[in-house]
Amino acid sequence: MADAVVLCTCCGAMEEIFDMAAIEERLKGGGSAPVPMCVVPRLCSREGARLAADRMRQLPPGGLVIGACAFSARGDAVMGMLAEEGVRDIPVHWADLREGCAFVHPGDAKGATMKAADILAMGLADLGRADGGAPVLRTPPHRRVLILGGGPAGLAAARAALQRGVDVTLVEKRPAIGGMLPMLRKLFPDMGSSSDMLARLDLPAGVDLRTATAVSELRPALGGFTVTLKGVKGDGKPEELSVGAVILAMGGQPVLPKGRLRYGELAGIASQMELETRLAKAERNPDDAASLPRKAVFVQCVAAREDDRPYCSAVCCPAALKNGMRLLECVPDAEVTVLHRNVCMPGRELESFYRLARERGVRMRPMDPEVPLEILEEDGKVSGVRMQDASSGETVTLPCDGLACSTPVAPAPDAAKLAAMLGVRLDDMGFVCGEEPARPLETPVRGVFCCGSVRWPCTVAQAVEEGAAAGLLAATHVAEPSATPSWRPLNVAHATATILDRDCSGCGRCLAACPHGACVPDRGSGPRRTVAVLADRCEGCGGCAAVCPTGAARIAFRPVAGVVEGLRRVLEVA
Amino acid sequence: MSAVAVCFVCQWCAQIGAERAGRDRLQLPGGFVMVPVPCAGAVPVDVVLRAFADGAEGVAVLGCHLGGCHHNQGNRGASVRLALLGATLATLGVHPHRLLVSFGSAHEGHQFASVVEGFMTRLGALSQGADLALLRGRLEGAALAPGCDLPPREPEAGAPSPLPADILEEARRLLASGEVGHVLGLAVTDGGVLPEVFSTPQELERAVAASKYPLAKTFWRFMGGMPQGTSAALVCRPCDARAVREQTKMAQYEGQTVRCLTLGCSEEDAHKCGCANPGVDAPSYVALPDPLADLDPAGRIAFWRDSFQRCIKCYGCRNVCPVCICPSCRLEDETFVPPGILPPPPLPWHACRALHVADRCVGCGACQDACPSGLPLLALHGSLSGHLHRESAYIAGMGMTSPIAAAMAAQGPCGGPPPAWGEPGGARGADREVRHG
Repeated sequence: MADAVVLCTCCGAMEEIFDMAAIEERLKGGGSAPVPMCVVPRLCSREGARLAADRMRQLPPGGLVIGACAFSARGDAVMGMLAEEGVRDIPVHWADLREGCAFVHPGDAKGATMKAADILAMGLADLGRADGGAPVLRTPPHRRVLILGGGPAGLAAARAALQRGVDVTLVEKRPAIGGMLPMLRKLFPDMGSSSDMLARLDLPAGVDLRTATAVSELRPALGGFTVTLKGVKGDGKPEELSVGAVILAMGGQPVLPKGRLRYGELAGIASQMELETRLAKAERNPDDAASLPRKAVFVQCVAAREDDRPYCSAVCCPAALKNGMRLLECVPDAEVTVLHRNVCMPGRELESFYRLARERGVRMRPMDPEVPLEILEEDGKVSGVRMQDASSGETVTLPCDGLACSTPVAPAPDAAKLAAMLGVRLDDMGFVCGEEPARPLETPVRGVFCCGSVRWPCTVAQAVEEGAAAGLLAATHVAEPSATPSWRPLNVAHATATILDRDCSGCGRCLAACPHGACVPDRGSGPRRTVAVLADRCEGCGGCAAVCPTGAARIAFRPVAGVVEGLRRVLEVA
Repeated sequence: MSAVAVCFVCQWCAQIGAERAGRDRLQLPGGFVMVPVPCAGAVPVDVVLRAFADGAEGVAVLGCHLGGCHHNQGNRGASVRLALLGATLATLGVHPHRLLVSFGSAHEGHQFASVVEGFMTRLGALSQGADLALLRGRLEGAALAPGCDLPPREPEAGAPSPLPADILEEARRLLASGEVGHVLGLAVTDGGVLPEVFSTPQELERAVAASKYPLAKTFWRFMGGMPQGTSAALVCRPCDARAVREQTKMAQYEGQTVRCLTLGCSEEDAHKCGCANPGVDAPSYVALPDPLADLDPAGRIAFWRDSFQRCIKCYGCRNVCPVCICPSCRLEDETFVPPGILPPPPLPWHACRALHVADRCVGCGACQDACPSGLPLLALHGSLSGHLHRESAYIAGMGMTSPIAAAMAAQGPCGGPPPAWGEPGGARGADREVRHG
C-alpha cells in the first residue's frame, strides 16, 4: 500500500507559512522513496476536490493523509466533495495543519513547516498500522421501551412513547399506578384535583402494564437490555424481556421527620404528608374539619439542608403553602404560620402561588437555622413553639395546637440498585445523574433515560413534562437508530473496541474501566473466561485498551502501534 | 524546532481548546506535537513510557474536568494510573515537570494556550537533564553513587522442616473428606526441596515446609491444566496466599475451588525476605525503610542506570512473577520493546512491568531472587506498592478490589456494576469459593 498526502493551501494562506518543498523533503526521511504529495489550493471547493481526485487516480491504490484545517472546520464538506469526485472507501487520516499548526505558530515559519511535516508523518504512521476493519454496525435496538415506575413521570413517558408507535412495558412495584398522586388531593399551582390528573395520565390501551412487579435483573445486551421481572414478593415465574431503552422513573420518597421536633412523641405533630391526608379527609367530609388544628405552625427544611441531607428539594415550600391555603379553606378562622429559612418558590407560576398564599393569610416568619426551635407541650400535646425570628432577632413564642414538619424528598429506595445494574451514575445525594446541562434526561449509558423525582425532586407538573420528553427520546432511540456518516477519516470516525480472545487473560480490568457497561464477561474459547465487547454499547472511549496489560483490547481504526510509530518518527533523539 | 514534547489531548475538551486557540490566532510555543485521543482515560501508560524512550522530554495528558468526563469517569481512572506513572518516574529520579496531567484547564483556547505555554517553559528550564539519559536507555558509563544500601535479603531457600501439626491435620482432613482433591506443597525429592501434588492423606507424610519457595505461580499453572470443578489447596507462605487471591481477582480459578493453608512467617523470615507484609488478612503493612530515601534525584538516576545496564533481558522476573499471567506480554511486543537491543530500554521494560503489576504485586520478591544480574527490583515494585498504600490504603492480595478499578467506580456505580469480577456472588464469582485460612 502506498499512502499519499494531500495538502490544502487554504487559498494560498498555508503557503505563506509552510515551505511545501521542505515538507516533502522531510517526509521522505533518510533518502527513501518520496511520499506522493499533492498540493491543492482549496480542498473544500469543487475544483480542489477534483484536482486531488485526479491526482489520486494516477497513484497506486493506498490510503490518504489529508493535511488541511481542523476537521471540525470543513472536514465533512471535504469528505463529501471527495466522495462525489470518486475518491471514497479508502483509509483516510485527517491532519489538522491550520488551527493545529499554522495559526498557532505565526512567527516561526521554519518551525511550523517542521511541525506540519511531523503531523503528516504521524498520520502516515497511523495509516501504516491501521488494522483495517469496517465501521461496526450497531444492532438495531429492540422496539420496546421499558419504563420503571408508574408515577406521573412514568405514566407520561408511557403515553408519549406509545404515541410514537413503539411497544411500551411499564413496571410498577405497587399494586396500582399513580405513584405519589393518590396521596395528594390537590396539586399546585392551580389547586387542580389529583384524580383529574390521574385520569388524564391513565394509560392508553396497548401499554403492557405490570403492577406489583419488581425488576430482579437488568443487564446490557445486544440491541439494548435484557430485563428479568418477577412478582414483588418474589412470587411468580421470572420473565425475561428484551428492550431497546429504559426510562428510570421510580420517583422519590418523602422523608419522615423521625427524631425531629419531638415528632412521634407529642400529639399534634405531623409530617406535611400526614397533614395532607387529614386535609383531604376534611375536604371530602366537612365534619372531619373539627380535628384540624386552629393555630398551625409549619416548619420548613426539617431533615434537609444539613450535613446528612445537604440539598433543598424545592417541593416542600410549595406543598406547605398549598396545605396552608387548604387549611384556611377548611377552617376559615385558623392561623397558619410558616417558619422558613428562606422560601423556595422559583418560576412564574410558583411565584404567583406564593403571592396568593400571602393574600389568603398564610403568615411567613424567617427562622435562624443556628437556633434550634423549642417545642412547648401541655398534657402530652404540642402547645407552642419558641423560636428566634431571624429578621428581628427577638425570641417569640407562637402558641399552636398543630405542627407540621416539611421534610424533603429522598431518592426512591431502589434507585441505587437499578442504577448500578445499568451502570448509571448517582450524585452524592443518591439521585440519578443525567447528562446535565445539555441533555438532562439522557444518562451517559446509551438507551437509558431518566425523568421525574428520580433525577431530582420535582412537582407533579414538572414530572409529567419530563416524563413526556423522556418518553419521546426513548421512543426515538429505539425507532430511529442514528445513522453514522458512511465515510470519515479513521481518526475521526466512530470506532468501537474489540477484545482479541487469544490475548485476553480474563483479568477483568476492562470490566471496571468501561464507563458504558460495554465490556461483559464471556466464556472464551480457552479454559479460562475472557471479556467480550457489546459493540452497540461501546462509545469507543478506549478505556479498555488503556488498562489492558496484554493489548488484547483495542479500538478499531485507532491502533496504539500507529501512535507509537508516529511518535517514534517525530521525536528525534538529540 | 523539532518536537520534544507530546501532548495527548482529549477530543472532547483539550482538542477543542487547541482548535479554538488556533482560530483565535493565539501564539503557542513550538516543540510539541498533539495526539488527539477519545478520552484522557484512553492513554495507556505504555505509550507514555515509549514516548519517553523515543526521546520525548516531556509528556502532557490533558483531559476534561474531573466529574465532567464525556465518558463518565474515564479521566478519574486516568488520574490514578498517571499518578502511579508519576510515582514510578519519581522513584527513578526523573524530574516531576516531565509529566503533566491536567484536567479541566484546556476547554478554552486561552486556557489551552496557558497550559501548554507553562508546560513548555518548565520543560525548557530543565535543559538536558541527566534523567533524559535514563529515560532514553543510555545506561553505559553510569557511576553508582556510594551510600545506597539495599535491604538485606537472602535469596536462598531455608532448610526444610516438618509441616506444623495444625496445617498437616487440616490438609489431611481436606483430602480425607474429599473437600479438596489435591494439595500442592513442598517435598524433599532427590535431596532437594521441590513442589509436589499430594492426592491422598498418606502422601502428606512427605510434605515439608521451607522458608522460601514461591508456589503461587506453580499452583496457577497446575490449576490451569485441571478441569472445571477441581478443588485444591495450597500449603504456602502468606505472600503466596495473597498472590493466589490476586489471581482469583483476575478470574483465573473460575469454576474451581481454591484454598490456601497458610504457614505464618516469623519476623525473622520476613526480615530475611525484605517483606513489608508477612500477614494474610491482617493489615500488617510495615513501611519498610526506603533504600532510595537518602538519594537525591541525581543519585537515583545513577543508581538505576547502574542497575538497569546489567539487565540481560532473560524474562526471569516476568516468568517467575505469580501475578504475570497474561497470554501475551507487552515485553515481547516489538512495538514497545524493539528486539535486539541490550540492555532493554528501562522504561518500556522495567517501568512498564512495574506499572502493569502495580496493584497486584504482593511483594514476594521472586523477581529479584530470580534475577541473575541482581537487579534491585523490589525497590522499584515496593515504591509503587507504597504509593498505592499511601494514596488508597491498598495492599495487594488483601481484598477483592483494586484502587485502579475503584477510581473508575468512584462516586457511586459507573462503568457497570463495579468490579463484580471476583467478588463472591458477583457476576463472575458465583461459582467459585476462595477461603484463606
